[in-house]
Amino acid sequence: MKKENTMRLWVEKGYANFATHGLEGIQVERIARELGLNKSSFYRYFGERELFIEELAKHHCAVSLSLVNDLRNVKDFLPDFVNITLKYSTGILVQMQMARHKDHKTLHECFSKVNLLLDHAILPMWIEFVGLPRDQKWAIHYFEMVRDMFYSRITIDNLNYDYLSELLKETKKLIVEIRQNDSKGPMFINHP
Amino acid sequence: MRINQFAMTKVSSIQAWIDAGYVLFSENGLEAIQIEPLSRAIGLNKSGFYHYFGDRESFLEAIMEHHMKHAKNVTVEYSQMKQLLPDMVDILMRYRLSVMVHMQLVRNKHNAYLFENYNKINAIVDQSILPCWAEYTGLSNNLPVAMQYLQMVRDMFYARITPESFTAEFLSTTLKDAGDFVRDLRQKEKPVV
Repeated sequence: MKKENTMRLWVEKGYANFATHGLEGIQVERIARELGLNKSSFYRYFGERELFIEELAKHHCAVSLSLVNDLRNVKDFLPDFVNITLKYSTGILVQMQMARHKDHKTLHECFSKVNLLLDHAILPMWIEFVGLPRDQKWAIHYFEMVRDMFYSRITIDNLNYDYLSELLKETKKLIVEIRQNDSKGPMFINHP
Repeated sequence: MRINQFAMTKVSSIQAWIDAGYVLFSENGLEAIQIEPLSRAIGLNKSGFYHYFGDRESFLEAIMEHHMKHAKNVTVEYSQMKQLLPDMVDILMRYRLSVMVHMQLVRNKHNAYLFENYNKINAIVDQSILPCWAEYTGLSNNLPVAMQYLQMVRDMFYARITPESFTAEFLSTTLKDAGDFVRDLRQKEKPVV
């Protein structure tokens, strides 16, 4: 097998394992067994685990760029956004796992970079979907809240169309309900 | 007398294992539950561990029982809050260790047992915060929405909290922002007369 191909096998398997188990999934022994490759191949190509993790981070950036590129094709937020995102579910799970490893420099830097990329791509269409005015500082605040809540909630088992679209609809409904609440809530009493 | 003493020792060393496991879990989650470092940390023999708990799984169950005990205590305090700010900040600061354990449950949610415990405890704790939270956010007349918002803020909080960011200031700001968001959202809707 060509060197590039073997390296890609290692990286792709490592990426998939990282998505399901985070750093704990990146054991050379385990990946080698799952790939049916010799551990020496790993050390020949990557030298050490930290360099392998750097390769995974690079791969994650490439995957994220590709996701951002695909998101340009979103016409109707639902279902387009969900369908495109689900095509990248491994990448989304990797991003979720990276959030866990805030104390790992390479992973944390990669996480922040990808967060910025995704925020930039998703924020405008999401604000429109939820119906918050674009200039409102709370729109960004709410977006970041939903984003972090999302990473807290998703697992490999619930990352599917129904769960994701329900979650998005809920975040929209919450805004509507809070505003409706206005007409009868305690705040109204203060402003007769 | 000797038997009583023996019984005391047994209970206290079981507790020592659980306490140490609880602290290590709060710092490093599931990975931290290794018998070797634990036994070194508390200066007890590994054989005791196997005698009391059998295996790692049962030990994890004991730690989760311990966590549930703390959760039940905190619900009593939450239900006695007069005002969300600063009462909730005070309570969270005092339960720092449990909050960090709870954060680890989110981080280790690929373990179904831990995620199950996260949800189980939330179901109890959320209810005890709800009345005060609903009043604070002005959503008392729509409790399902108040609850939905509370759960959203909760999961955002557990995604963000780290040992470094865990300060009274961070907690206050998080709660203040959560309240301001709702109030501002309404005021923007209403033309000022």
